[in-house]
Amino acid sequence: MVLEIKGFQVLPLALPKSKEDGVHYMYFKKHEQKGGQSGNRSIFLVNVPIETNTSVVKRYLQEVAIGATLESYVPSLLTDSPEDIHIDLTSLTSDLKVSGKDEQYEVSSKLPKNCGIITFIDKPAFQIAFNSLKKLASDSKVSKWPLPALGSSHFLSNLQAQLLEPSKLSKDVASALVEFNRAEKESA
Amino acid sequence: QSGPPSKKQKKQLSAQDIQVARETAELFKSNIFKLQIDELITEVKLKDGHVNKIEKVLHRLHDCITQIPPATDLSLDDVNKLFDSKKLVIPFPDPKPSKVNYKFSYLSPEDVSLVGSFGLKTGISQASGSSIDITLTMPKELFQPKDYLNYRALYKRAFYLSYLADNLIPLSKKNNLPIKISYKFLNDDVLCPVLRLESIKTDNPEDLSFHKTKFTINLIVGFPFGVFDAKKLLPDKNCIRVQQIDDSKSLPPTPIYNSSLISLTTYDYYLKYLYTHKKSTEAFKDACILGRLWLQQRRLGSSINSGGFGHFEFAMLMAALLNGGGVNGNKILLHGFSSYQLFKGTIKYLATMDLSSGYVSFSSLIGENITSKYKSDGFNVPTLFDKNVKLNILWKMTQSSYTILQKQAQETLGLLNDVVRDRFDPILLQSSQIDQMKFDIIINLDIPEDVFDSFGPLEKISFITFDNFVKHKVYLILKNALGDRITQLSIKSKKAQSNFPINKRKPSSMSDSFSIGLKLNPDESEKLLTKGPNNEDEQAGLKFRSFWGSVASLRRFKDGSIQHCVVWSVNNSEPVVLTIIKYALDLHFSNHISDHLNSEITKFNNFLPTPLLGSAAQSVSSTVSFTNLKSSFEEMSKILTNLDLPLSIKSIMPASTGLRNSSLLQPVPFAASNPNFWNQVVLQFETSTRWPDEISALEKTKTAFLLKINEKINSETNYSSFITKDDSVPFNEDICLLNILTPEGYGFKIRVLAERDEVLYLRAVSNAEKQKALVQEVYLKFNQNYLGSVKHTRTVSVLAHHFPFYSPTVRLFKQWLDSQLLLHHFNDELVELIALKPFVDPAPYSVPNSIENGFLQILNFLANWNWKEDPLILDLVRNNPGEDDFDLSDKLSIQAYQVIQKNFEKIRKSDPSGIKTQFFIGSKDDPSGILWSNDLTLPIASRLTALSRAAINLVKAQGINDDQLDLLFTPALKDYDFVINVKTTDLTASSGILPANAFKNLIGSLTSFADDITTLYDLIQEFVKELNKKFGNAIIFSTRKFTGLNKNGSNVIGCVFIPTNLAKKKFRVNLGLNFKPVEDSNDEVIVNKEAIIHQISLLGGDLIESIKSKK
Repeated sequence: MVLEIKGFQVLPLALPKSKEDGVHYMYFKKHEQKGGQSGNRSIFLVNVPIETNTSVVKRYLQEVAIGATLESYVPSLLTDSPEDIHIDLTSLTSDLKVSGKDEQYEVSSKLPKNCGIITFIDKPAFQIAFNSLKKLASDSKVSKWPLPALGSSHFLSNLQAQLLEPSKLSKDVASALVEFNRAEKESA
Repeated sequence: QSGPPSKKQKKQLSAQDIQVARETAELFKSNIFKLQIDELITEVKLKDGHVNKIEKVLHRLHDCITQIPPATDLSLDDVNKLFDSKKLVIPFPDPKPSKVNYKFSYLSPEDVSLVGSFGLKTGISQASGSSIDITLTMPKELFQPKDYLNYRALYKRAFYLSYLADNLIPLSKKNNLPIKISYKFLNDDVLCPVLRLESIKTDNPEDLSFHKTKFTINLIVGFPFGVFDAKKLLPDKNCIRVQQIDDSKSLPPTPIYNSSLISLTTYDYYLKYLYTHKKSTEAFKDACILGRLWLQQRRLGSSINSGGFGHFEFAMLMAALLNGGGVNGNKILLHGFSSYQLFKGTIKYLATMDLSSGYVSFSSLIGENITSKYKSDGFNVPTLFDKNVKLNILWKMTQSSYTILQKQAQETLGLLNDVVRDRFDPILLQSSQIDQMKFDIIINLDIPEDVFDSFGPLEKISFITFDNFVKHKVYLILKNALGDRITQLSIKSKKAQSNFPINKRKPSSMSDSFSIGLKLNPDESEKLLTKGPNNEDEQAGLKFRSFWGSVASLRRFKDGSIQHCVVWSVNNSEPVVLTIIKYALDLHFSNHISDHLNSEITKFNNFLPTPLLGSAAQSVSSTVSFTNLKSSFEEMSKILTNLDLPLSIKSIMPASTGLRNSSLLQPVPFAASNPNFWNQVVLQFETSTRWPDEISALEKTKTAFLLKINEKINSETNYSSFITKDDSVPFNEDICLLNILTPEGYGFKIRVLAERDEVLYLRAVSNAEKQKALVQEVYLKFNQNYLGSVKHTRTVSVLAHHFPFYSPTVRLFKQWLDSQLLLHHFNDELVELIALKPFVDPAPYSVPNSIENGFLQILNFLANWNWKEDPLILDLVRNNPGEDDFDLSDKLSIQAYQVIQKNFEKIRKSDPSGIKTQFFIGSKDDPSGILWSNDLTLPIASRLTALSRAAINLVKAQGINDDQLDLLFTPALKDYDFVINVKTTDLTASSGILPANAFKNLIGSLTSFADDITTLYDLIQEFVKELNKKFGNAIIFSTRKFTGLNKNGSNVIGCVFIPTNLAKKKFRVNLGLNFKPVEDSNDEVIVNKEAIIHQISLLGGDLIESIKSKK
């Protein structure tokens, strides 16, 4: 069994109802950031199972690494996109420094498809998680990866999510335009 | 004098320019054509080896013939006993002779000559083989002057023929010429049996076998030229005397008999006539070959069942036109013409001169230079009359076959006049052989036995065969009944047999099965009213009533006139034309004959889903449902335009399939499960300089406007609306659309186009460096949704109006694509452009006017088109009839054509095998040619081609019946790696489709929207969308977009792993695929198929019934 590949640990996962041959392989390593504020509290994941979000990661860690308190999970923006590369149309069309998007978006837009970064609240929490995952990987032990029930309810809520609430949308639009005007004035 | 040219002078100059341009183009075309012709002529030339072999054969055959001993003065009794009837029977024409007071003899032929195209050296090599005609002229002394009467000459000839056969059998054996002899009716003429000699393959090296040449030899026994008084055999004379009950009536003329008899005297004679033209006109021979090819590709020929106009008739007409042919006898063709000019001149003559109401009179007398003349008052039968021989060369033609020839010539003339592109292929190389594409409706008619009784003695002498009689009678009835609802009417015998063994007097099977082919006039064919004469016109009224019988009635029309008319009722699947045919044939041909009549057209029409509408049945080309949608759109536009907004609305432009009559399902109010329920609309505000110069802020500003409209609509009108996110342009996450539901029950999705949009996207393209190609695609998507779809909708709406059968045809084509799980891979626009091909450019067929014809022509086009090498360039502008065809203002010009051609070449330079862009469809709307096909990859494109081929082959091989049709619309699921069977709620009725086997009044039409409209959407489409996002880089997913067309909301998703991604790969963080480590390798990974399939099953959850993998 391959335990490590190009510096990444290989973590076998069993998704709900999975049989032996349906084992999923996720790859991880310590996420080293240049001068990042999160200061070595993050793990970089490759080939994350579908529909992984913060609560899924949380539930998984509760099972395999008790005490590893999660700060955030940032998936790649491309994971649920048909595209392979992200393009920022704003920077291609304007020199204005519009800061409408948050920091997480910035990270997310740079990650390759099906990758993600989990960040823990502190170094000890990170260490617990990292050690547990390493142990699982080196033992080639298949751990259970939780996944919410999908199917019709999932698709229906996707469809409903496309309908935007006018008052919230109004607010978003208004604040984005205020920010744009600010940026425009600054550059003038 | 030399001042600046006045305006008028300028104009004249430009007219002259046009004339020069026209001539240059014509000359240029003539030259190109010449090169192509030269190449073609060499290609079709008979092989020298074959010709040499055949010449040997003919010599040996001639030797055999000369060895036949004479037999003289035999009585009918002698003759009947002469041959062993098990081996040889005399092919006497009907009725068999019983008592005769003359003798039968065989004397050596007066003359044996090679005739026909082999004799004239205009024969061409054909895959199916060709035949060589040899005439043996019976000696004059065998005839008496009165032998032209009552089949006498033909009886003598029949004996002569069988005696010839009887002797050739042993003689050919003795002379080592192994042949099989059978009888054949030359050109389907039952009065003219000939001997057909076929080579037999033997092992004896001495034997002269010629089977490899694929030639057969026809031994035609002819009469000496001028042996009968030709005046007595004119078409209006009677030469078969039969007894009548009422002697006072004169006997009807016997034109077929008369002409057949004269023809038998002319084989050698006309060869000489044509030969002199070949000598005097250098290009005559090549032009004959072109004519022959042209006719052959259109399945036209000299034989009766092929229309009676073949290469012989073509050559004779051409010869006549070299000696005049104009109204004043002016020469239509000149001796110095090139083969192209001779061919074009003859085609033009056929296209423009009516040889049925008028005729051409010429003289075949060689050396006299007698002028041929066109005369406008003719005999109402196709006529090319030889004054010298007193023969109508076109005697085997009918009114029906003549109109077909004329239409073909007209279509070809149009192609020959095309100055924009080269039309050589459809004129001479492509064949139009499939009847289902030649005609709009095909009806099969089986004649029950009792009808044979109506073929009495007088009918017999007029028409000679039952076949001719039926064709004539049916033609007259249908022509009268259908009037200008049809433009062509062909009646063919399905079982016509012209070959039969020499131990039979005639072919065994009776011709009792006919195929009626109709070309419809789309403007008239579906009308529910057959208008008759005014009430005041008593005589015409009487005639009308007697033809229509009980269904005729009198009606007062809006203008106050009272007219005779017939009102027909509609049926969803049966065209009005078919209803009329059934009625008319029952009334005038034979009672209950309609029970013996069937047509594929109803099956095709039945395939289109019936809309769940409250209104009455509608014909297949009805556009009522589309018109309702359009008025709802217009009403909504009015309301929007009148809203009080900070920036007023300039235009609201339709951009949806429903608004251009091409949505698979007809628009039905409140049918929100229809995937095309929402109609895209592009809105533009009045010009403003205040749009932000940044793409995200620009979209937000648009959204602010939409929010304003949304608020007003919901508070001030009885419309309802909401705003949704839109992902039609990748990477532009800020686009919002306004969704409006109208009180009439339709949905519109409004997107805003601002003046700055295109500028910004293009700026992004020019600023993009590494990702230029990707950003270009973003621009294309923007262009599709905001600009292209608007233009496309405008163009297609006009064309759908111009071609009434385009709409139902494109809908059926979409349904077929969907049944094959392909539709969702294509843009609707691309599908519609493909479907337009046979409408705007149908050659070698003509514009289809039924869904069967249109649908098959589309498949036929797809089956044969080579996308890798050829750009499809469509001229989507229709010229109005009567307009000067050189007015290029709107039509695709040569320049525009070349620009598109160049764009194609550019694309193929970078993508030679079309892996990225397989389809290229250029038009005035889209000279780039790739707006709608840019992301259509090779596997999908090849699948479309392969499936079309399979479909066309199926139709060619087995015709069309219910089973075949079902098969055409059944997906080939075995081609997928695994198939997911899914199920959602039943979406049929909520998609606006009347469920199969359900009664409309029990289902009830939809009357309101659901509270949450999303509950009516098809979740399977959502599922597939997610599959594509998550696994689209590993698997191609295919599904039916229109789940509502399936029973019980079932559907399938066909999955194929993308082969290039199946190989092992080096581990990379950005592989993007679900992969697993490869054992014994420290850096390689491979796609984890099992995990993918498992996650697909988790994603689908309760929607999945089963997943079946290919074993």
